[in-house]
Amino acid sequence: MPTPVFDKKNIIVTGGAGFIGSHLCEQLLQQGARVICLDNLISSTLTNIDFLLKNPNFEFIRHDINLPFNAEQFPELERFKMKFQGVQEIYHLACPMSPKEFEQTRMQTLLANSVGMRNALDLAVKYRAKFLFTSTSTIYGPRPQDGHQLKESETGSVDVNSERACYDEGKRFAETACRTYQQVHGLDVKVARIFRTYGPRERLFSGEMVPDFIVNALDNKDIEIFGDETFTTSLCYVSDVVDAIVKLMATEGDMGPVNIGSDLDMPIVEVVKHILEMTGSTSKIVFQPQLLFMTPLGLPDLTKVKEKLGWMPLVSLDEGLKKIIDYTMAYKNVLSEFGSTKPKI
Amino acid sequence: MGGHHFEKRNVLVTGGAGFIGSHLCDRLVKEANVICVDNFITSSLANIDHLLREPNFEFINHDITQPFELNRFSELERFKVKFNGIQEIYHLACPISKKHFDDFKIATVLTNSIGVKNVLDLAVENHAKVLYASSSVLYGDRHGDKKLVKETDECRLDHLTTRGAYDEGKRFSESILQTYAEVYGLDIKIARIFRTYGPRMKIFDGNLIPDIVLNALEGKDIVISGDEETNTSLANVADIVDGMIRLMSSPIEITVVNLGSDQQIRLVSVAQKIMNIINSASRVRFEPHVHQYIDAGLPDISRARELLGWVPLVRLEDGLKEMIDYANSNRKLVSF
Repeated sequence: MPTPVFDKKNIIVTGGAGFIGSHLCEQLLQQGARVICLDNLISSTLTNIDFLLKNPNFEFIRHDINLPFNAEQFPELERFKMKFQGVQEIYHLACPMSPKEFEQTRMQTLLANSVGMRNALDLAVKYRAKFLFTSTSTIYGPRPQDGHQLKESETGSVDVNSERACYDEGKRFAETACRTYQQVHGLDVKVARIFRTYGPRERLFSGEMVPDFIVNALDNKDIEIFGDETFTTSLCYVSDVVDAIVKLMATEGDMGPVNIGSDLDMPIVEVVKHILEMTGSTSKIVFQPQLLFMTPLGLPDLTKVKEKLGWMPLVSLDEGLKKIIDYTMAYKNVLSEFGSTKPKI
Repeated sequence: MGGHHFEKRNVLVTGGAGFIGSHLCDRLVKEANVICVDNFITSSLANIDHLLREPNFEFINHDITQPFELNRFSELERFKVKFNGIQEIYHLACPISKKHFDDFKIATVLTNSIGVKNVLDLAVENHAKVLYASSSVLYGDRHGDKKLVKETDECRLDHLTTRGAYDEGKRFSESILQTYAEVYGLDIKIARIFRTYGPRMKIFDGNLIPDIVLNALEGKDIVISGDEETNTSLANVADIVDGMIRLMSSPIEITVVNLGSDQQIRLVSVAQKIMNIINSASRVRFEPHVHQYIDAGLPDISRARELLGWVPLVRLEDGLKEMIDYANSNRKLVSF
């Protein structure tokens, strides 16, 4: 069935109230789409999309993707005329993510990568929608010893019996499910392998280091690094990542998985020093034991994304950090009052 | 009906009408109440026909990608499942067909995710031990690798091939088991099964040995995927079943164990052995492999040997003879 052309595209974003999801919803609305945001708020929050709720082209539905989604059941979606206009694109981001609460969300993670994946793909089959799945750099396994950059064609190596397999192996299987649906149903499927990302609305106090660094720096409190001086990472600013996945969705045909992230490696200690300088903070660095789910990851080889999408990360670390610092300062009272609650920008 | 059923443990076998599953049921039915679950996607009622009359055996036609509600099956009342629960679950169900793989792809993806989840939910409900029949494919291609594969070896598997639904599915299934074990304290066992042969193997489905037997019996050309030097190792299904039963009764610390033969043999000499037994006049031909073929290599079975006291015992010649006898007596049945 050819995709009908209407004045506006109908787009579903699962996990749309999450860190990356909320930025994606924002950008899609700016581009003139109608956005249906599905989220069960397990590791995300309504405050991330608060400022979108009044937009007539945006609808939030609190829905667990582990249950089948039937748009007809929601009268609030009638204005999107999905019955006639269908759904043109589905961005599937929903998956619990929190390094600190990883153990509590294990079963939910498992379900998201199996039952949830199936429901999302079935939705794409039903609407003949283009489908983009946000996979992760962790499917390549731990950072390679020789530090080489990871190409999409690398098979990677994940320990299927490790404690974090529900996430790492789950995402690998989810990619396989995408590929299988593509083969059997002829779905137009895109897989974005996203590397470590930072930016405003990243969850606080959950083990994602950068946002906590900034809050603590502003308060002159100790800054905790989960690891030691050798912990290096690449960081990609969220608006760059969103640009890339929107570009990827716009492509035609199958190009296989695509790495999205920064290939610039830096010691996490350097990141903290930048933050301390920029905020004029007197905080001290404290090293804590590594978290199961906050470990050094490999770096992406960006050849494919540069060639096929004409994309590369544009926002420099200083610019990105500045934006989070401004955001954190503006909402500091709310942030410290509500702990991990994140207000709108 | 004897009144002693409640003294026996209740064992559930998913995929119990398949090749390995039916042999497992044969063994278990001697000592336990066996509930065999299957939906015949790639298995056959003929495999368990002889068990249907056994008082300890009950067959349920059920698709495990749908939730289990055992209480719905009134035929299970005699095993007192409601009161005695289920003590052990052998989870073997997964569509497998080398030749018709594409027909079952979505079913395979669902079995290896939602199916495993449903089986484990049943295990949690019953506090049952679970043994999962995993596969050597999860180690990835070991072609040309002379080393025996250990349970702790790194797995390098391309999960985006056309066979991903099976190969990667098996890997994710193990991860699901591991997660359930951590969250619910389940006693889980994972048998990574290498190439196995025996009676009731599907014929004309890309499985070499039964096809060689049948063609040898009929004097037709014997087709080998690969060449003169193509190697394999073959474990007899009776040995594999024995290994699985030993693994199930092992202590909780033991989880992942390779089961298979570590004796390398050239396919062409397997064919020769079969032709010698039959005194067949067939000729051997070589053909390229069907589909993307994973050579899982040979297993290091020292863990099974040391922890389970298990070694493969059946001599290849004896096993092949048994297969030939089976093929002879079921020729009409198997050659449709």
